[in-house]
Parts: sequence; C-alpha cells; structure tokens
Amino acid sequence: MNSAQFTALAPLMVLTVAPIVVMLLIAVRRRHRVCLWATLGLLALTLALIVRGSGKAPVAITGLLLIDNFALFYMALTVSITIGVVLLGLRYMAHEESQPEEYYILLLIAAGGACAMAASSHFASFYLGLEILSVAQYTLVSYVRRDRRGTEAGLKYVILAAASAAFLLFGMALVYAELGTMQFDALAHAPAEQLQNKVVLLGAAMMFAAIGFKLSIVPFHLWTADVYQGAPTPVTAFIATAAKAGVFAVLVRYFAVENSYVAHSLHLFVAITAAASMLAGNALALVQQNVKRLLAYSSIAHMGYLSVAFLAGGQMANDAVAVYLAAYAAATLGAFGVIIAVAPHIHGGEGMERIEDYRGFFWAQPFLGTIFIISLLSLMGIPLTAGFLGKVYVVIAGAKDAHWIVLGILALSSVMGVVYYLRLILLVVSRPAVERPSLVPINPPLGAKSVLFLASVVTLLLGVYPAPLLAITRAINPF
Amino acid sequence: MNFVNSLLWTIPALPLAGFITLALFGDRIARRSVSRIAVGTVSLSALLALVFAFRFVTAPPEGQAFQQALWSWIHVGSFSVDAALRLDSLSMVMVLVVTVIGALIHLYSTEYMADDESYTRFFAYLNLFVAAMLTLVLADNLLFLFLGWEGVGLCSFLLIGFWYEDPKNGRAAAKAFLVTRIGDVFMLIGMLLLFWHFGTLHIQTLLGAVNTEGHSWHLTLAALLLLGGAIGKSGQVPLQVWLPDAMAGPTPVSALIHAATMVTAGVYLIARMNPIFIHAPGIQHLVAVIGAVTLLIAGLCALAQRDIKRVLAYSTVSQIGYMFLALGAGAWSAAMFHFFTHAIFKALLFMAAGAIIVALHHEQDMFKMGGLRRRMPLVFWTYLIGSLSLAALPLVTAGFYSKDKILFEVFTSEHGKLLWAVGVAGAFITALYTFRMNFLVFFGTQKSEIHKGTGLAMALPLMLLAAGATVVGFFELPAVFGHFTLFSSFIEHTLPGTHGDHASHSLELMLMAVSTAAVFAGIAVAYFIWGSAAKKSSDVTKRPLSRLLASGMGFDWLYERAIVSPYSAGARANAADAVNALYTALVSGIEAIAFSLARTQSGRLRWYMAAIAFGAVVGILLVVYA
Repeated sequence: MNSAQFTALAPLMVLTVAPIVVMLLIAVRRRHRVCLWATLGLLALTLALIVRGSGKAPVAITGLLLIDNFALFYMALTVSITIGVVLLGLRYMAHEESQPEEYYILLLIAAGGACAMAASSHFASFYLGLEILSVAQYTLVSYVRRDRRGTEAGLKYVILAAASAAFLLFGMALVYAELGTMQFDALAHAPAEQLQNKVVLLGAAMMFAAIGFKLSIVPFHLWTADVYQGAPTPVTAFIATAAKAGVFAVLVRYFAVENSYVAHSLHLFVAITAAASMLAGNALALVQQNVKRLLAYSSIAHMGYLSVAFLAGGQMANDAVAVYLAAYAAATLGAFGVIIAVAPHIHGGEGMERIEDYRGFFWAQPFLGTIFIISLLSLMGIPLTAGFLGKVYVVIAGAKDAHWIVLGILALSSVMGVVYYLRLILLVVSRPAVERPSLVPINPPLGAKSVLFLASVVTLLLGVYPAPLLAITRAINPF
Repeated sequence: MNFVNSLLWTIPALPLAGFITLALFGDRIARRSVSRIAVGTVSLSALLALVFAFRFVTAPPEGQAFQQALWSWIHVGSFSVDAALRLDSLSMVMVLVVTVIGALIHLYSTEYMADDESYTRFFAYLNLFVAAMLTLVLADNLLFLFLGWEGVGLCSFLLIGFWYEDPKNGRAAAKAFLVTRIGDVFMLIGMLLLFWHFGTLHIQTLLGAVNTEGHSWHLTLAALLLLGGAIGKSGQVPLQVWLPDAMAGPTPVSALIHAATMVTAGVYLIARMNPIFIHAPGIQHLVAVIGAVTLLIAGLCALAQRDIKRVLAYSTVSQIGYMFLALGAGAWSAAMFHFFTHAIFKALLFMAAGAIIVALHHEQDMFKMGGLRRRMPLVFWTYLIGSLSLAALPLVTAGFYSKDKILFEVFTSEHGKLLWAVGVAGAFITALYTFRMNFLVFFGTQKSEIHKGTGLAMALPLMLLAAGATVVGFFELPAVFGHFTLFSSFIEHTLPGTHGDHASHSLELMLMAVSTAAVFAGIAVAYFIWGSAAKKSSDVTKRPLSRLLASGMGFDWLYERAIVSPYSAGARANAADAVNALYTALVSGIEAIAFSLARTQSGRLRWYMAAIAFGAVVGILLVVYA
C-alpha cells in the first residue's frame, strides 16, 4: 500500500479501530465520561483525516473501495451527524440505561459501516458495509433493556432487514451471473446488448428493492414507524440521518448515471415508489399523534422527495441529493435533538411523545422551542431555510426530464406536510391553558446545546448563503 | 475591485443588522441606545452611499455600474440565481434618497416617537424597511427585486398598523396590504412570463434579450403585468385607494414610506425595465394616460380634504401621477428627476406637518389649526418652502425645474399636447390645494393651543430638507437657462436619453410661461377663497361636490358597491360554503386514505413481510417488463 492509499484509507481505519479502543477502555474501567470523550476524540480524528484525505483523492483501493471527494463528503456527513448524535444523547442514554458505555461502541461500528458503504465500488464492500451498519443498528434499537418496545422494534428490524438483505444478495448474484463481475461500474455502464435477457435487470430490481427497504421507501416502509418509535431517540436520530447517507452515496454514484441502461430501466420503479412515498408518508403523518412516529412518517416523505432527484441523473442528481440531504440532516437532527433533550426531565423519563405535550413548549423552553420551530420550518420547506433550497433543487432536477406528474404529487403532498408541521408549530407557540409538569425549564448539557444551535445555524445559513455547500457539491461531482 | 467598492453590500446590510439587533435584543437595550443603533446604521449607509456617489462621478466604474457578486443562491443545471448587487446611476439616485432622507427621518423620529411605548418596535420596523428598500433598488435580478418589493410591502403593513390597538388602523393596514397585493400578483405573473420566455431572471441579461427580440406579444403582456404591479405599489388609478388611508401610520412613516421611497418603487420598476416598455408602445402610452388621469383625480381630491395628512397623501398620488406621465412620454430622466425633488419636498412637508400635529396634540384637522405662522416660525418657513416647491414656484424651487422638465418633454413627445394640457391643469390644482393648506394652517386666527415646541432632532431635518428643496433644482436647468444637465447626464448612463433637445427656445419659454401662469393663478385663487378669515370656517364638506371629492372621488364607495358588497352578499348566500364542501371532501378523503394506511401499520411482522414481497414483485415487473 502506498502512502496515497494509506492517507485515503486512514479515516476508515481509525473508524474501524475506534470500537476496539472503546471496548478496551470499558474493559479497564467502566466510566461513561471516558467512553464519551474517547468516542468524540476518535470521531473528530476521523473527520480531520477525511478533510486531509480530500487533497489526495481519488484513490482506488483493491477494486473494493474508491475513495474520492464524493465518498469523503458522505463520510464527513455521516461522521458529523454521529458526533451530533453522541453529544445530543449523552444525558438521555445515561438516564435510560445503567450501562450506556457499549452504546458508543455500536454507534462507532454503525458509522464505520455507513462510511464503508459510501466508499464502496464493489458489491462485496457495499454488502459488508450495509450489514455492519445494520447489525449495529439492531442492537442499538433494542439497547435499552428494560424498554419492551425497543426490544420488539429491534427484533422486527432484524427479521425484516435480513429478508431484504436476502433480496440484495440474490440480486447481486444474478448480476454477477450475467456480467461476470461484481464491480458497480460494470452494472452502471452495462451496454444494452448485455441486458437483452433481462437477468441483469431482474438483479438490479431486487437490489433496488433492498435499498428501498433501507431508505424506508413505500412499500418497504412499514418497519419505519415502529422502529423510530421503539428505539432510543438518539438512535432514531441516527437511523433517520446518518444511516441513509451511505446508501445515498451508492445510489447517486451508480444508479443515477446519465444514459445508463440500468438506471433508465429503473426510472419507472423509482418514480412510482417516490410518488407513493411522498403521498403515503405525508398522509400517515397527518393523522399521527405521536411525535416520533410523525417524524418517522415525514422522513418517509422526505425520502420520496429525494428519490425525485434521482430521476434527473448526472450532476443534477448529485447536486440535488447533496443539498437536500445536508438540509434534511440538519433539520432532522435539530428536531430529534429537542425531543432527546427534554426526555430525561419529563414524566419521570418517559419523555414528551404525544404532540399534545408540546402545547406552550416555546414559552417554557424558549431556546429549545426556537430550535424546534426552525427545524420544522426547514422540514416544511419554508423559504430562507435550507429545506426550501433543497426542495428547489429537487424540483428543478425533476423538471429536467419533465416528470410533471411526480412533481405535481410533490407539490400536493408538500401541502399536506405544511398542515402537520404547522399544527405542531402552532401547538408549540400557543399559550398553555394550565401549568403542566412538561413546562419546567430544562437546561440541556453544553454539548447538546451547541449541537442544537449549530444545526439551526446551518439550517438558516444554508437557506440564505448556500455558496459553500454549492462549491462542495461541484467539487464532489462523481460524473 | 478595490476595498471601498467591495463595501457595496454593507449599504443594505447595515440597516438589516440594525433591525436584527433591535428585534432580538430590543427589550434589553436602553432607549438611547435604540436610537443610536437605528439612526447610526442608516446614517452609515447614507455616508457610504455618498462615498459611492462621489466615486461614481469622479471615477466612473467600468460599464457605468458598480457590481458585486455576493454568492450563488441556486445553481443547478442552466438555472441559477445569484445574490448580486448592481449600483448604476438609476439605483444610485434611489439609494441616495432612501439612505439620506431615511437617515433624516430616523433622526426626526427619535423625537416624534419619544413618548411611544413601542419605541424599539418602531425603529426595528423602520430599519427593516430601509434594508428591504435598498435590496429592491440594488437587486441584480428580478427574484431579489421581488424580495425587496414584498419586504417593503410587509414593512408598510406593519407600520401603517403600528398603533394596532385602534381597529381603524388595523383596517387601513390590511387595506393597503390587500390592494397592493392585487398589483403584486400581476407583477409576479409578469416576472414568471419573462422568465418563461427568456429563461433568465438576471435583469441586465433579460433587458439585453428584450432589445434583440424587439416587439412581441410577450413583451406587451409582460409590460402590462409589470404596470399592474407598479400601479398597486405607487397608488395610481384605479388602485390609489389605499394610500390616503395609509396615513393612519405615524407621520415619519408617511414621510419615508408613503411619500419619499416605497410608493415610488413603481416608478423605479418601470424605469428599470424601460426596454420592455419601449418595445410595447401601446402600454407605454397607457402609463402616460394613467399618470395623467391620476394626477388630475388625486389633485381634485386633495382640494376637499380636512385632514392635513390626507391632503399630502393625495398630493403624493398626484405627483407620482406626474412621474408616470413622464415615464409614459419617454421622458425617463425627467421622471427620475421629479422623483428626486419630490422625495425631498414631500418628506419635508410631511415632517413639518408632523411637527404641527405633535404641537397640537395629534390634531390633524386643518380647520382647527389656523394662525400658526407666528407661533411656529421655523415650521412655517420650512413648510412654506416645501409648499412652494410642490406648487412649482418658478426659478427658485426644485419642484419647478422637475415639473417643468416633465411638462416640456411631454409636450414635445408624440400625441403629447392633450397630456400636456392635463399636466398644466394639474399644476393649477396643485398650487390651489397647496395654498389652501397653507392659508388654513398658518394664517387667520389661532384655534388650538400649542402644547409642545419643536426640538432639535425634528428641526434639523426640516432645515436640511428645506435647503435641499431649493438647491437640488439647480442640478438640472432647462435649455433656456444655461442648459445645465448634471442630473440627466448622470442618469442617462442608465436610462435612454430624451428627444426634446431639438425644440426651439421660444417654445420652451412659452410653455414655461403657461405653466407659470397656472401656478400663480392657483395661488391667487387659493388666496381669494381661503386667504380671508371669514370664509375659512365655512364647512365645505356639506356641498355634494366637496363631499364627492373628500371621499376620494367615490372610488372607495364604488369598490364597496361593486366588489365588497357583492362579495359579502355572495359570501352570506354561500354561508354553508358550497366550495368548501369540495375541500371538506378532499380533507375527509385524505383522512380516509390516511386511516386506511394507518391500518397497514398493524405492527404485525407477517404483514410487513408481505408488503416487502409485494413491492419487490411489482418492482421486478416494472423494471423487467415495463
């Protein structure tokens, strides 16, 4: 391995070693603070190495991994979100579980899997990354042992994810049988004559179904609400954001190639599932009374919006996905962060899950209330927030090839989105009728406060001054 | 680009920073600091604007415009929107007026609003307004122009309804907002039409494309739609009804927003988009006709008002009518020159009126004033200077030079004779109502007690603007008086030149004599009717004609009968709301779907598994066989 490859691989290596380091630290002495700081330090080191690696990219490593600026961007996004989740969940995990230390090991493993996926150029590395991420997630979902809902959600997730992984493997096998290679590139650029007997398309469709499960796209979405609700909220935040980033990297790079026959054949499937996700996600959120489930359904709708971006293909898909994903991640982290922050203090740690609990929230918790409102506005797509910019990008990407029906559904379902987000915001700012225990002032730890503040700043800043992000999207264009 | 030029962005950013500071920390800041922040930020902007103006004249920038690209807001495929500023001679004039007069009005407000509870809120809005107005005039593309356009509309709404405890003010604010919104909808459609046809929102690129394309129905339609926006914002017939009611706001607001700056945004829009109008001659002529009709109607209405601020409001409508007349006649620089002088003398008049109103404990009825000449000499003299400028007294006032330029160029334009005659009639009416106002307020016997003197913060802006109302006229002298064209040669870097230069001096002198005669006749008639004490008390509102004029020519009545009443009647008839049934059905339909979807979330694993299998099968069918 030469030095360029070493530099490129360094972030992944640190991320791989990190769980072992934390495990050893626990073996020496079980201390929450020590694990926390070690995790943060290692994640920060990874982030620094990613930034350093961007100068040397692109570097191909053994045909399994391709580390270029594109992969590094999604790795950086994943690692940044993970840092945010760690800081936000600190008090929550300490409160929920008497032994929160292994949570950090699992989180690091999951982040490592997602990063490996982002850099994968081969079916094997993609599958390994996906499974590393998934296995860590099963355990994370049911991490709080005394919570029956978490255990149930974890079990459901294991079974369904295993089934979808079977689809993925079988699809890969079919493609390999026909093309004789497991390189993504070969599939993405497969010439038309190789697709004659449809086996490759069959394989691609099965792979796409499995990926749809990971992204919780309709009709593969049914696990989403149960898992989001049952999992500890920091884990939910992770699944909703970081876990998706790696999958999107692969999707953009290999399934949004312009003039690719495979990508072209998938178009109708993508368009229909995107439309179904936007409609069903928003409709389900509309009648939902539980905040975590509401955000779960809204995330299904957001995945639908993101799928629209694929239809454009090429650089436009790259730009739209990167912008939308960054905006979505910042807003989602902000919204879940607020739910996480209040949880240990309310109803003896039960948290505030019913949306009715949020009546008058702003007046009791001005800081958290403001963050919550900004995040919801961005998810709604109000101008001058990052969410609006993301939606503009998605709409322009969709308009490129005149997918008017899909765009019409996007517009319609966005209106439904406005209804439930706005209802929540109105509750948050309305004056409470009676004093309630949920309205005692809450002071989250400094780390959590900074993450929330940063998420909102990013949300607002990208809305008016997106130039840095746009420069990045141009720099990472893989096409 | 050197350092000073790169500071262009701070001109709008400073007042915006002031707004943000006041909005976030206003309740923790002492009053004195509030005024320091508010006045300071706008004054700094004004200083910067003056520096830019100086540089513009001494070392003209490349392409006759300072440009600053700030950042790229949206950039995907071939579609891009950049946040960029462009300061050419047209926006320079606007920026100077907005910042310099804005700063004076901020200073004036520190005294005018001194006793108000919501002092901080007032200055926060005022700062936001200045920032939005500067965005409007500095915007390099239509999207940001529209952002500023809606921003000033919002601030206007907030400030008209500033004293919201009185429902009357709230209604006036809502009226202003709704009526201008009618125009805004037209403008938005016009912008979209332009974007759809030319594929860009960047103003310079767009205008270049317009010039190469020449005449087409797109341009005619776009010009008409943009005109709709301009009419709403600038209070021209038939959308002028909101402006007199907008006087419900504090007087500095009337001076800044509803006299000097925002209401002239329509004029700016037409001047900025002038190639579109030039290539749509029919619509351009319509602009002139609307201006002529407006100046006459509003002037007549001003004659019958009792409220001093409503006189000034109608007068503003009427003077903007002159600007539209000029735009329509192709006298681009004359329109902007009249905008420039009008901003100065009308701001002066409003602020002097404000000084009177404060002194008389918020008495606005002119028939209860009288005899203030001796008791408030400073206000009297400054008000008189403003009035003379408004009435266009020859040779010594700014208003004379700008109005005369308009009339002369209208006369020499195509089909301009009739429009010119309307303009001259308007000049007579202007002189008439202006001096009716002066005689009623300052002469005769005093009827109300003076409670409060005029302090320095209010006096200083009055004196400065009074000086301005005299001096700025000499920036532009007609051909017969030495043909000094500082203003028009400056503005013509951006706007097309005029056509009347070849006209003979004797014609120019003759036209000048006619309008001068009209002005003096107006003043004389005013003196005979209202100058003597006896007739002053006569209640004019009893006569039917006066009543009609006092009510603004019955436009409100007409809209009430023609639009509001049928609408309310329809709404009452439709109390059960037939249309809403559609939406209710839609809502229950969506709810039904949502609940049946929610039933799919049964929590049962086998069902979830089945859905995944189903999805995979459908997917395979779609990908492999479709």
